[in-house]
Amino acid sequence: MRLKLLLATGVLYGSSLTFAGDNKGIAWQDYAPATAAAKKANQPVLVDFWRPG
Amino acid sequence: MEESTYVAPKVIRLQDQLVFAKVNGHEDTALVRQYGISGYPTIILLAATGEEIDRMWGYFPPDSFRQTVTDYLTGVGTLPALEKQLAKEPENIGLLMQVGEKYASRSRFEKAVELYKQVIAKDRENKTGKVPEAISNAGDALSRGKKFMIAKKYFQTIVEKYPASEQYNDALLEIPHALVASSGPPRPWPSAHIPRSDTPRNPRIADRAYRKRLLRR
Repeated sequence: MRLKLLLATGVLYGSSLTFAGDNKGIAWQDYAPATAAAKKANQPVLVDFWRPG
Repeated sequence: MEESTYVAPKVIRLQDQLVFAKVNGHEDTALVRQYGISGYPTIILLAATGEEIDRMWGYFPPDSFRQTVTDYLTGVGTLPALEKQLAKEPENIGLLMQVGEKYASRSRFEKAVELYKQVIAKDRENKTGKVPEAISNAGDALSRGKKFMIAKKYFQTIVEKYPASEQYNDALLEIPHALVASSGPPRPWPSAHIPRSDTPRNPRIADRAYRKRLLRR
């Protein structure tokens, strides 16, 4: 029983991790690779100029 | 932006249409100069060819962010679109203000001031209620373009002529700021100028004497 519970917890934990991984945020790139990728894919680029602090 | 806008699913989904890039303005000063960045965050939308479509400045909540980006991608509300409209409606005060703001966000301060001046000239009696804002924006653009003394005159006009306006309190603060900024960076204390080889042996006495000499100059 304990083993079953442990396995079930593991499966649930694993599945929640998988879910978290699927719901990825924005894939930010540096300026040069982003503009190169955009040119290749014929897509616009959104450049966020930020400052730390 | 990081904690609210960029984590919103409706913003994340824009990745289907766009490539996202981040530039640290402190480190990549060449790009900051190239794009005339004068405030943070600034978000620039570039076409695949590298040509600028338009830019956004400051905080945008997710809905407004997605809407603005989508508009820009379809040519709505961009600088070229607004200029085209302004050519048809040169007396439109709201449009003049919008185009002025677009130029200011591109660090094209002279052009921005020119548009704000048009608002002031076209609405001398402030019938639209936009004149104090135009004067304040012109002062701000001049200040960002480091023309502090001219900027000060604009802020003074608000204080003298429009004391009931929304811009009054900011103008009151901007006047001393313009005065301080126009005098340049603060000078170091005279003792900091003492060249090592010129410093006599008793540093306390010497320092005082040297400081007096420097102050007399």
